Amino acid sequence: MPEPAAPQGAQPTDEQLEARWKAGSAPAFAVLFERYHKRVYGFALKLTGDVHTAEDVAQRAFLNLYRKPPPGTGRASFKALLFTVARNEAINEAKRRGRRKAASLEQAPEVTDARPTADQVTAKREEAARLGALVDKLPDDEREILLLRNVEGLTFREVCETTGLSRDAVRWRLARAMEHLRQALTRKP
Amino acid sequence: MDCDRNDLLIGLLEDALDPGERTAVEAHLEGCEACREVVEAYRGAAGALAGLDLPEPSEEATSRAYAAVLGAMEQDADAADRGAGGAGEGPSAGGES
Repeated sequence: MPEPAAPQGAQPTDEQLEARWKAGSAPAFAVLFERYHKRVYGFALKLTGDVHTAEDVAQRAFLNLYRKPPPGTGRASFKALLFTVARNEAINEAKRRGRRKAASLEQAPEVTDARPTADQVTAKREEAARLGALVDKLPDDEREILLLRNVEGLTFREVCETTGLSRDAVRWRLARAMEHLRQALTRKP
Repeated sequence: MDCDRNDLLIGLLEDALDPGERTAVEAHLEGCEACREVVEAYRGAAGALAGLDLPEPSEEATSRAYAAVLGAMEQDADAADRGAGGAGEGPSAGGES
C-alpha cells in the first residue's frame, strides 16, 4: 500500500525516509544525505581538525550506513546512528593518521576585532566565533561529547549509546567541558 | 552535595540523576547561590552551542561524496537487475523531495 502523501510543504521525517529507503527507494537515502552531510562533515572537522580527513570521514559514514542498513526496531534515531558511524570513522582515521595535538584552553585565541561595536549582529557573530574557537580547544573527549549533545542535539541517552560510555562518564565529560567553557567565557578578553 | 560536583549539576540539567541525587542537588541549590549561577551559566552555554554554526564542506567534497553514494546505489541496482534476470526490483526511480 503506498504511503500517504505528506501535506504540502511538510518534510518527511528521518524515520519516514529510512523506511522508504529500506523498502527500496534509493532517492530517500539521497535525501538523508542532503539533510545531514554538511552536519556530519562539520562534526568530523571539529573532531579531527583536518579538512581532508573530515571529507573522507563524512563520505565513508554515509557509504558505510548505506551498505549496512541499521536494524529496524529498538534502536536510536537515524541521526544518532549516523553520528555513531561518523564518530567511529573519525576515531579510526585518527588512529591511522595520528591524533592531532589538543591545545590547552588557555591558548584559546582572542576575538580578532577588539574594537567595541554597537552592532548587536556583529557582536553575536564575534561571540559565536569565540565560542567555536573555545570548543576547538577543548580536550578531545570533552569536545566530542559537547558536539554530540549540545551542537548536534542528540539526547543524553543517545550520546551514551553513540559513545558507548556510561551515564556517569558522559555526565563527567559534559560537566568538564561546560566548566571549561564557563570559565573561559567569563575571562575578560 | 559539595559545590565541586558539577557533574551533578549537569545531571540535573540533563535529567540524568538518580532520585536520591536529584533530592540532594535540589536541596543544595536552594541554599547555594553560586551553584545556581553555575547552572544558569551552563544553561546559557548550552543555548549558545545549539546555535553554533559548524564549517561546511566545499561543493567539490559534497559532490564527491554524493557521487560515491550514487555509485553504491547503481551497483546495487545492477546487482538486483542481474539477480532478477533483468526484470528486477532495484531501487525505485521515484523522486523524493
